[in-house]
Amino acid sequence: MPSGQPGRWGRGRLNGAAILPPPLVGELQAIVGKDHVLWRHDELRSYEYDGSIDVGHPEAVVLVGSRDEVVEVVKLAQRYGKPVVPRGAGTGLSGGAVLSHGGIAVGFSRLRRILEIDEQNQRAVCEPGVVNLDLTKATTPLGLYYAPDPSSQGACTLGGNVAENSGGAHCLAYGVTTNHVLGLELVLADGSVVNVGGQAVDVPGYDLTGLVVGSEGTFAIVTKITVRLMRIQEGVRTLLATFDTIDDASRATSSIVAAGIIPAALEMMDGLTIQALQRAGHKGLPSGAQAVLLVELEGMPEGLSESTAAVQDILLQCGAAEIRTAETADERDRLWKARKGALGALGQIKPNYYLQDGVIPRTRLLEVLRTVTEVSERYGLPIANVFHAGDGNIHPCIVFDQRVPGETEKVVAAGGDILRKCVELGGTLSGEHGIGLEKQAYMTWIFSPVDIAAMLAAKRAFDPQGLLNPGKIFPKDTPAP
Amino acid sequence: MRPETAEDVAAALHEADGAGRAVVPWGAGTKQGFGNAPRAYDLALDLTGLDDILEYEPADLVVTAQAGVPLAALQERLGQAGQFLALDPPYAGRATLGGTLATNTSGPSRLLYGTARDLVLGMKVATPVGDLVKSGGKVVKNVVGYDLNKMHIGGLGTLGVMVEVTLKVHPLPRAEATVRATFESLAPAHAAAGLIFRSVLYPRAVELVRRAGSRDRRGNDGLAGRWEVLVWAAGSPATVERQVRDAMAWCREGGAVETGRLDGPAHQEIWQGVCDFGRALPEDAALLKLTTLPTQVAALVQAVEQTMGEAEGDGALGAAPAPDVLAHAGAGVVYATVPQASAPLLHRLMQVAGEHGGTAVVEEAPPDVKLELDVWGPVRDDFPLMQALKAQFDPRGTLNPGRFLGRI
Repeated sequence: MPSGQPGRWGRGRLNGAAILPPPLVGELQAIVGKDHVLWRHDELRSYEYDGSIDVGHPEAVVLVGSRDEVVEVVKLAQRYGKPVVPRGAGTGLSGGAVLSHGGIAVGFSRLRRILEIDEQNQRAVCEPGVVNLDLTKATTPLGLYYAPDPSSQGACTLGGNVAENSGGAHCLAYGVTTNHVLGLELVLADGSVVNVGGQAVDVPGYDLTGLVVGSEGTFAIVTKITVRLMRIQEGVRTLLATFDTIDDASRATSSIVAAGIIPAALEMMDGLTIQALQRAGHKGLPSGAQAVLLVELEGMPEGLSESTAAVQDILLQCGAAEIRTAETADERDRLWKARKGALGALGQIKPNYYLQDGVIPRTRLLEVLRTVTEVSERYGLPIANVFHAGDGNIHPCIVFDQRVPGETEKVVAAGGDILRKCVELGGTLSGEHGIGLEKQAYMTWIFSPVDIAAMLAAKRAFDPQGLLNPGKIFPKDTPAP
Repeated sequence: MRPETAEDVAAALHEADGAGRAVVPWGAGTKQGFGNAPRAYDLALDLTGLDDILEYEPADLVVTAQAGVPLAALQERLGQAGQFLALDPPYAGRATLGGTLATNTSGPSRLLYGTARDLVLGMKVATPVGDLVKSGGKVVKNVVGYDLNKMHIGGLGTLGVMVEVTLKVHPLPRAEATVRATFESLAPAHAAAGLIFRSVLYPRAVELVRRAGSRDRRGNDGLAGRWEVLVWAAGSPATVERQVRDAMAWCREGGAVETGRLDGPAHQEIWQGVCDFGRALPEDAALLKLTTLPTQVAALVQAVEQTMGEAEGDGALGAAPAPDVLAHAGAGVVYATVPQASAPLLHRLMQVAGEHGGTAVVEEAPPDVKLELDVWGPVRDDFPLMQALKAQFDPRGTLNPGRFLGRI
């Protein structure tokens, strides 16, 4: 029976008492040093969660200091039959780093060195604990940056990004994590170290790098990451358009893409989000607007004036009430600050939010947003929309109060209804957050038993004993691989 | 055997697998020379009957097509809506979509648009047990379940047979032009190319080309031994002008002896030639694909030439001149023709690539030469994982047995 079931403090554990057989803790300490093993339950509390609403219970957290330590920890876990779950910053939104089956969490907070920046070849080699934004900060002086930019980029790690195949606001033009990872060093479940991909492209053989990215820590533990860096574009224009209806904003989104313009980012926020931002003290947002679109165009100045004008025309044709353009970096930062602060601002409405990550073909935006409104009314739950409109990647945020009995269950059900609509419209369950624990029950909406069996076959090739991050992605009743 | 439906493909595979018959999936056959000779070959599975474009919504920039659809037919359909699939592999005029993806062939545009792994959103694959397995989806962002698409792209049909694929498409650039600059030697050409592909110009492609062999086959064209830099400018009319202007200026400053601009048919023709480079070889020649870091391209080319020169000294290469070379310079991919190829020479060239931190694959070679070498080169420490995948997905070795890396 998994040890991470409800009733976590109710199993006769004494405050501060050992919850692992002492030999295992001792052996872990022998590998990484005494200071780098957390095992008392007060120490473990902050490792019970990630950014989602799921909870699990690690038996120990090991803060590894080298790849070789990862190897030893994995071998030890193997011997004791304990699950191993890699963990970056714990910002994940689907429970990927939550230990639903107990075991050992391997924390990467000590492995955060950028090992190499190769300016000429536009590549960087990083340890998994490197914070996403830190890589861009380190390469900006060279005119380079790391393109995938999840909203949590100031905290989330590259290792976590690789596990979840994270996206971000600028993925519309530049792709998600998998499009930027060239090679990985892996520790497999048997403790062996394997390099996949590399510095050069098109390495002969199966694209194991591509398979591992997005496997949510269930195939291998990543200990080194080679990524592609991009040249910072010469010019950037940011437009903020206000709409009286969310329908108009949706139409504008589809029209921009249909016109053959691929902005670097095309983000939408709805009226509720705007209200929350205003309450949180964000200035300069239009009052009373029902939707805003944030459109960012990048490239050479020669092309930008033309594409900006084209986008402005479309926005106006679609009924934009007002369009502002950011001319300076300051103005641009201010517009983005609102977008990036949107989730935090929702706390102004209710203490908790539950963030969905459905995807639909971008032409079906209008329909899915209508469904979100219906669901909100049906359940009596406010739902804010702040999302990557250009990709068709919606983020309905159901705001609620976890302390109200029964509310969490209602929220989960409402989220499920929205995702079902996404699937009906030809879309899917998650664009960038992963399945984890959060959406495992919905996997059968997308994939047949045969499809799932094929995925489990791949899992068996990597981790036949199911040691790594068990209990994730697939429905709970799925037989172990 | 030429099935007409995905279900028939799955049934045919199932039957062959049960009977212990080895299957070679077959599109237009343009790349049947890829890989090692199969260990067994009982049945060619002709997929050209699966040639429908199933779903296409231009406003979504997504298309779903069957694997046997000719790439050219797909491009024509997309072109009618002002869009295209950003893959420009060799044999694009005849190849099928499935064959292009199974061999992971690409072309110069990979600099801007990436390769098949960046464009495929989902697929349906027929398996040896007769299942049709779906992975990915039909939307541009998707992290639901394992990304099994990746193992079939470039997997040479050894883990399953693609029957249906969903791809991301792009708007056609509104304007295009070529900059062609000629250099006396490789080093300055390589430097100029690097300046361009690393810049804010974001061109569609930057190539390094040397057609040494042309002197012997088609008479001296006056350019033998010289290197060309080709820049594919694409975008809006204004950005194309900027790309052309800067690229030309940088080439001149970098020592180009001649620079010019090509538009219209001349522009199209030159890129057609780049895409099909090395694909119409004399019978005794081979085509080598080398990869390395972009900064190492010149060193790798020199090492290859030197090795071939030494071989010539040994008498192994006869009187053939230096190879024709084409490099997707920004990607670090080099194609070199090897006239009068022999297995020992190719083997040595592959070793040389390895010594330069790169990889080498013999993409085309005379059949008797191929039998004497492993065209994929040595396996690495990730090979046991690949074998484990093969054991899971094709345990009886029904699909293209022996053709892929490590004769998997």
